[in-house]
Amino acid sequence: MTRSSWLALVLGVSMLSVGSGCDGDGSGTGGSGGSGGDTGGAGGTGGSGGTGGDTGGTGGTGGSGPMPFVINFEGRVGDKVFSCADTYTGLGTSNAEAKITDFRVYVHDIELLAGGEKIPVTLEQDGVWQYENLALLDFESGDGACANGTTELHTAITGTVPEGTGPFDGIRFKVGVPFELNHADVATAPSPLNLTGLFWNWNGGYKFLRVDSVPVGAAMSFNLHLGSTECMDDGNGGVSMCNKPNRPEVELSGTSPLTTKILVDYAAAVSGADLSQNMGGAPGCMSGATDPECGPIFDHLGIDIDTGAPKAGQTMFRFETPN
Amino acid sequence: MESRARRSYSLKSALLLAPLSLLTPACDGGTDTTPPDGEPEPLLPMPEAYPRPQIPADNPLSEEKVELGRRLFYDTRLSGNQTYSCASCHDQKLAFTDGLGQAIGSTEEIHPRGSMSIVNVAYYTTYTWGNPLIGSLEKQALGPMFGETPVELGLSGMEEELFARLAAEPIYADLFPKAFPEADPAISLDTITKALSSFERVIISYRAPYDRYVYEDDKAALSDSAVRGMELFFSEKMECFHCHGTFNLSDSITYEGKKITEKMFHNTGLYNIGGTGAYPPGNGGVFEITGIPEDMGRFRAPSLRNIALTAPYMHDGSAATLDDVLDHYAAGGRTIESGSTRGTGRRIRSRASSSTGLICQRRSGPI
Repeated sequence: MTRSSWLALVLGVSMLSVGSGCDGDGSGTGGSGGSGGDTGGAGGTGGSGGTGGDTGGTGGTGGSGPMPFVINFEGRVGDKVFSCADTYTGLGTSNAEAKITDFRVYVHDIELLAGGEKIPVTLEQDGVWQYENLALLDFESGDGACANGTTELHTAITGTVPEGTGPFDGIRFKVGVPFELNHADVATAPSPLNLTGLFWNWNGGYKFLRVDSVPVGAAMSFNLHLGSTECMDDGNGGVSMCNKPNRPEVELSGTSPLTTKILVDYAAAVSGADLSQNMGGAPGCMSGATDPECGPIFDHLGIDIDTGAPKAGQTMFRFETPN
Repeated sequence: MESRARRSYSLKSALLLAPLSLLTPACDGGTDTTPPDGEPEPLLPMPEAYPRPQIPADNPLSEEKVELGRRLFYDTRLSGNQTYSCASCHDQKLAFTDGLGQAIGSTEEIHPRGSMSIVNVAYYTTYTWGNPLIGSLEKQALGPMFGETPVELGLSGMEEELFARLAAEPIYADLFPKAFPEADPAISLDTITKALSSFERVIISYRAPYDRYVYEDDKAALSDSAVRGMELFFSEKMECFHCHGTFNLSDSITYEGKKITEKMFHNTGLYNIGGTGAYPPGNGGVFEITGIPEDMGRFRAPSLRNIALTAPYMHDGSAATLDDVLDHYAAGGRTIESGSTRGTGRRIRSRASSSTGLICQRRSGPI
């Protein structure tokens, strides 16, 4: 049995209750929790489940069991919603005008905050976007300027939290792919770790964050590729460690992530960089510790460029605030 | 009968590989390895004394995989714009190189480095010019296909299109399931890279005059001057063999029975920009991977087999001829008088008073 099918089986026990476990057109109101068996999904909180599931599943009230959640994200360029079709202005220190050709980011280790308590979540294992504790957010639609992207989008992370937790007033997560998954064999990796546009072959691992832009009038594109660097060979075909992990840690608080969208803002990430020229290193910032474009970008991503450790001050992720 | 025809075709291609991999004028001698009727030519037909490559347990060699890999290697479907195949930069008649100092990719982007020969590539412990993290051919194949800095084959983000292109070709619809009967789906990155690697693993040079001299006890295989060159080459006086020793005339190799993995990289003093030790930006060898200052300029020593065919030399093609290469080593490092890479790479006193013997060895073409 492959690792992924084993996981799917194990996780299936607790995860079937989320979404697809009750994909009948049940019109029940769905109680909170309920009792899910090995083959049946339980009605979720406020879900569309209830009594209509294919294999049963009894919606109930006050039952024990995980509670499903949805966290919505939105790709942004400043105050504009990201689209592959648009040209954006006012980017970086030179107020560059640019089209954006890719916009994807991996996140993992999501925790919801409830009055100072950190509640780890269990992600729905959807076989596409979410694997173990990792999810890929994909804001590009593969059209317009994003020719090398994918049509499919993924802007909502789904999963469950333990029964009885909440209400929630914040969220924590890490940007990137966890170390163990980052250096496994990409040729056999499960979705969403099998996208070649996010492979980072020369360094092992994946591009944690990929936003590429094509500034008008610039000599070359301005690529933002975040990933682990300075990785060491373990002598056995793998990687033992990376001196610069480059996995930012994001914490947002003050409102519930289940009701308030999280904005992922490219303009904020590059606000300190000059997109109109390349002062050295890779075109844009490909995580080079001495690349002059990376310094101000890493500040806004919340990474200490000298150590690759997370630091405070990230501005790329924020809660949407009412207008 | 159709499958029989295909089988005999694949046998023929396996037979072709062995003599072509010699790439020397004197390849008509040696043992006749033509198999008796009906028996397949072994995929690795080297003599007993010649080391055999380690084949990964999860990708055992098979005739079907080699045949599939050979077709993929020459197939321009393996580039984004369908203009390039692996063979575009690894041309067999140049010992699987391209004659360029710096390779040019499918989108005409110039690579900072030159295409490496893939002769005897099965034996290396690391791949590309200087990357300790790429320890298998399967992993290496992903670089040219999907790498973006620089673009080589230009397939990044196009894996589904690649699979569809291959699936639409009847030969592949037949060959993939034959080569990978257990795989589902049959066409995947896993099977593509495994097939390519299997093909590359049987591109072995084992019957050069040097090999016949050493492994087949054919003392007439080398001329007197070539023997003199060989003695110098393997002497402490010239020290060439410290990096270009072994049957492969390289280091960083492994083979059946070898238990300890060696991965070596060397800074040979090609550059020392402004006296800082720096190599040209973006082309600093292992430093580009590890970021460790001491790794600046460290590159893997390539095999010298077929070396007369693989000019220009060094990772960036900056030595035009073998004489330039020998001058560089005779001087103990290269001095660049002007321009942005100005500096003297000479860090060691040369012990070589003359490289005449080596040039003789090169000119006599024993390897």
